[in-house]
Amino acid sequence: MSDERAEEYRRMLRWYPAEWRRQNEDAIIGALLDEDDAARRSRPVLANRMSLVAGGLRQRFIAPERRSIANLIVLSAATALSLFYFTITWAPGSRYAGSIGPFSNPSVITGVLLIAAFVLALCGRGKTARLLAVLGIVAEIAVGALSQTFDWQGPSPYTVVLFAGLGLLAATPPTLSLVKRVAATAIVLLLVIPRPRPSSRMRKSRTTPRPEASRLRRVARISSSGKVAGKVAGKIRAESASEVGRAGQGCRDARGGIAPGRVELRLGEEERLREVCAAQLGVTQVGADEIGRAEVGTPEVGADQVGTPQARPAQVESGELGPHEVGAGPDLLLHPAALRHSSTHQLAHP
Amino acid sequence: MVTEMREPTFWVLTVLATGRRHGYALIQEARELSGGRVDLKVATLYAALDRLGQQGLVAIDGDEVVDGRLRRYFRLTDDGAQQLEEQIVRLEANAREARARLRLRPATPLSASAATIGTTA
Repeated sequence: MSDERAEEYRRMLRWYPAEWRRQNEDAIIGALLDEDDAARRSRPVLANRMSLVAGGLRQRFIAPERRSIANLIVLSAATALSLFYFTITWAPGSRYAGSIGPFSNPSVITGVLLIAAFVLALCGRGKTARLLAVLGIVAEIAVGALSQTFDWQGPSPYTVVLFAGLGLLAATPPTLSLVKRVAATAIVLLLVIPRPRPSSRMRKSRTTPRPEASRLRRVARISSSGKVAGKVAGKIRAESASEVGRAGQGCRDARGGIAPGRVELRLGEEERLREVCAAQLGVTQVGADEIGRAEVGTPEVGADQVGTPQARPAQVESGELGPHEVGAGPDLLLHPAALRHSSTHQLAHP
Repeated sequence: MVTEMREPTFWVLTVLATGRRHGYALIQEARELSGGRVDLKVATLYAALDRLGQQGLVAIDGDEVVDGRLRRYFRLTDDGAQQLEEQIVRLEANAREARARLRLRPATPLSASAATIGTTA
């Protein structure tokens, strides 16, 4: 009779970690059987069954474990990164695929998870913290893959590596040797080091306060060859060159050469790049440029293109540059499809 | 500063103060001493003993097999005895303070005076 009960308890004790069972299984079963005998019970009562499930889960996930200093350091770094990420992706009011709440990038989900993991680790809940770090890795990779697939605003591969790498370090059990941890950190850092430039650029761009600072800004770098690399502040993926590239052609100096430099645009301001260039790069005179040609050449867009989506951004450009206000709002420019079309248009009219 | 000790912990340490006990005996005595308020489940007791063991307040004091059934004994460590002492001092100080204040309670019950104010208003 007691054997049956003992077997039943043994089964229930599988909720506990194996290590714990090795040390305590026989002793706890002995106490349970003592209690059952004293109460003349031939079967385990529900209260004991439930408390064994709860106790096992607790032992597995939230039993206080020694705080791992290494994990805390990693998680504090992850928290610092996440907080920084919140500030650069803070863009309330902007709405497009990939924006989440007041943030412009879904990677903030990972940030929230890692910060929660940090708080839990501080409270001595190392195991739950590690579980959250694992969720953070999953979220970051999922967000990265989804945004690449569906062309959302999403994290750049570097950001994915950075977040997922820190998550991985935080998720490794504290029993892992220090050497292995340091090696893993070094690998992650090596992957990350080529990256700091964009973030420092963004920091600099933040030092010039602007009206409507909360609006998403674009930072365009114009090289002397005329190539324009663009970046939406907070959008780590730097694939937006085409979005500002066409406007960047407007930055020419007095002799008609291209004026290299870095300009900062608020969203919807691409079409005024000539003025912005003049103000920010100190270009005294803006020569003939692609936008100008587009303006002049609007009738040349061609009958076949009138009414097609390609024609619309051209109208917006000429409308905002010229005296004739077409009246299209910046919303149109925000639309990734419209932006793509307009860059296509640009390529068609070199 | 002495932090408050939860009642199950307090009674586990108190039971162990008189000597080593095995799991079920601990549960039984804690229930009796607390006047039935602390009715520990075996799983809860073992979680508590785990924690107290990590804190160095209790220690395993040998296993004994009785009728093919394992009985694990626990004892109070010196640190545990000191913690319990600190709790007693804290609880006594609390009780003294409460007792002294209760003696100074005004003769008229507050509820009665509140009722008087209520009717005159």
